[in-house]
Amino acid sequence: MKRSPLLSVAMPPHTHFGISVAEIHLNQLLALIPAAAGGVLLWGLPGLRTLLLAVGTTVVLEWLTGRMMKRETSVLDGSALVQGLMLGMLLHAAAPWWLVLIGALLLVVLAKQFFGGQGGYLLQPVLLTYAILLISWPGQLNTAWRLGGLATAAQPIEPLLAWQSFGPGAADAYPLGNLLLGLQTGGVASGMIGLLALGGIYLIIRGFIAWRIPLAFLGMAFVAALALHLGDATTYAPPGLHLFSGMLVFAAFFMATDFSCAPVNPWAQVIFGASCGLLAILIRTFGSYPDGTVFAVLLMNLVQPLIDRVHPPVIGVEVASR
Amino acid sequence: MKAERFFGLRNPRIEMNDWQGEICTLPPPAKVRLPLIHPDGTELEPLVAPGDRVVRGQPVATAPDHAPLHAPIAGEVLESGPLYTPAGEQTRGLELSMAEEDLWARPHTLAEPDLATPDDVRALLVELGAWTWATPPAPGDEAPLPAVDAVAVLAIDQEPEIAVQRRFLMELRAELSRGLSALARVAGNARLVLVVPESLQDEARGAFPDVELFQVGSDYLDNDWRLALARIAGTGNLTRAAARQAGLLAITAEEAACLGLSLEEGQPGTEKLVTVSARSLPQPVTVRTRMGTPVNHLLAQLDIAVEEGDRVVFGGRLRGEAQFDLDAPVTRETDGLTVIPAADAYCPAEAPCINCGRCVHICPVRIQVNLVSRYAEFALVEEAFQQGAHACIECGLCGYVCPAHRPLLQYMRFAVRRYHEALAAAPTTDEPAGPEAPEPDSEPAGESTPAVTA
Ligand code: SF4
Ligand code: SF4
Repeated sequence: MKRSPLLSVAMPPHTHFGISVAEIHLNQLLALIPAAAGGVLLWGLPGLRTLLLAVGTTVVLEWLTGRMMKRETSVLDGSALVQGLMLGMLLHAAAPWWLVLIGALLLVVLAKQFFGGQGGYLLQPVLLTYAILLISWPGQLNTAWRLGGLATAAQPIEPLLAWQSFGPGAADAYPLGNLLLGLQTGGVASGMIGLLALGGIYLIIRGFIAWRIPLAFLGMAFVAALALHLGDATTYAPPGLHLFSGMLVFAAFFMATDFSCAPVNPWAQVIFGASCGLLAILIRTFGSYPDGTVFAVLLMNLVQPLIDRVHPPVIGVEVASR
Repeated sequence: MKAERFFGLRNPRIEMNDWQGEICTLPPPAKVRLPLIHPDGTELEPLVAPGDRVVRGQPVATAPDHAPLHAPIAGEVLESGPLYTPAGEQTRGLELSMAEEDLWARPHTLAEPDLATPDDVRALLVELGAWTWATPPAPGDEAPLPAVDAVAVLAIDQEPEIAVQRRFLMELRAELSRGLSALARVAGNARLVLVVPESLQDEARGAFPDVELFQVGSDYLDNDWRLALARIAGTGNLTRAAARQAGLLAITAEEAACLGLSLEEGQPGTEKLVTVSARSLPQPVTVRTRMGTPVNHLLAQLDIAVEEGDRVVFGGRLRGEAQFDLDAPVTRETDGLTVIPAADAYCPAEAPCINCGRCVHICPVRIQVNLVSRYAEFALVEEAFQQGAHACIECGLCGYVCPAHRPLLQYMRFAVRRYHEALAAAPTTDEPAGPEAPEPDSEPAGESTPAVTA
């Protein structure tokens, strides 16, 4: 008798929608590329150098750590590519090579693999890395000081810092249109407001990120800044300046939405986003860092598991509510 | 199966397909195999021994309070090793070989019941072979049952590619009609509700003008039995026990038709409709075959070749069970047979959850699948239950959308099962700490559930 063929067995479902983690990351990469290109246009070769250095070292380190842990490599899921690029975009064009290298090392080893890799971390790795760098080498990350030598169309000092240092009159040097185009001092591409928003909207339309988080984030930031500004227009910067400067938009679309450390339930997402926005404005206004967005998001990352308990009850069974 | 996604702004929609086409009756197989287990997990005791001769329709195995199993063919009882349920659990089995003449048993006569109490309706349905939702309460489930308020006849299918129950609104209307009138006779004061898909509502209304209709949409989830019944009961609660408490009995259209045959002709059901889909068929076909028919026979009759590495599934692509053996028999629950070529057979991976939330958004009963699946992964069974894992209707959609390709349905089942095992092991006098005791039979058929006295 003919032997019957060996069948493949697996648990249901036996079919799949077709989406993969790599696809999500590739789309994020796609969404970042316009802003990254804008940054390279603005900062020229030094900008490109920072980006390539960050991406290259991150990817290589991700591969190396995978090898060392004898795990299947996680490079192919694209997360290192995206996160490396985001790190490069946050750092400024004149960042010394060793700073970028340390950044990549922190990003891959400390912020990601220590927590269990993609999906395991509690704090957005790029933000965590940036925060550590910012605290450890404040001078190196001081754009006003470091970028003075590079010739660009951007004002030599960050808009928010200018406002804080020179008062309301400084805002005139920063027309909102220019800020939208990215003509501001800061990371290589973290200030490319318009292009970043475009990428973010692309991701929302394709369903790769949750729209509620950036919307609540930016909406709340706007409202909070507006309230402060209406209270005292000479001390507090106008909402437009807040929204269009620094890394607020970058964080709202690309970092606060990082799945691993953002809630998944609709109202929890709104609460999370809004809290990020509020905190960012508060830290910017009352804290000692001109751009406190990074700390706002990291703080909210910490309480995300609690926020995510806000969800409608399961249908069909009584569950002891706790 | 059609799944569309409007950019990413809404969940994929899976539409039920409306397959037409003739239903052909396949010649009986040379051998049938019958797993001796009721879908609710009760083992059946054989009434015949190897060497006995049986006729078609003769009871061959039974268990108290359950419908007997009838021989689907006339022939001889063979020695049989263990068989497997569609879900792969080992059970005792019976094997019959076909005799030259497919003789029917003498029509059995059912006493026209005196429907004094609602329990009689239940008992009768059980005796007639209604097995899905009419099963008697598990031992220990002491809550008195309310009067049967409604008997729901499900003319809807559980998988997009399967068209079995719906056929009873189309070409097999006459059979259903006989079943419905038989049901109306025995159901006493209970309402009869025919659950039909929207697309066939006109046919249903024309054919059964006196029967109350309940329409469901064309979406995969609209056609889920549990969800549809919950809407009829108006309870929002989906477990089988809850449906019973709401006075709701449910049987499929095919069972109703069987019941008609049984009451009118005295012939118990020995046949089964199965929708077969395979790449070599231009579209899925529905065939009528004997219960206990091995897959091999079905495939041979339909000229479907199975290659090394292909997947053969009882049921459909979303919630069907892969079989490892081409001798696996068609049972009363087998509405579909799907052959998936090796290249298309999706294999989930053991991958970490990236917390994207897709599973949570698509879950029809709002389970936090991202959390529960991780609890299950690390055997944190109690935690899974505090999240309501036992509400899962096993639709399979979470696994269908997960970008990390995690075996989510498997995790859900694992959690439910482990929890019931833990409850069974614990002394029943102690309230289990933390989670509420789940409904005793809220888990999938195929495993007997421990009784829980709270
Ligand atoms: S199978 Fe998944 S999506 Fe379906 S009910 Fe269960 S947990 Fe929810
Ligand atoms: S769909 Fe998969 S990866 Fe996404 S949250 Fe659910 S389990 Fe995690």
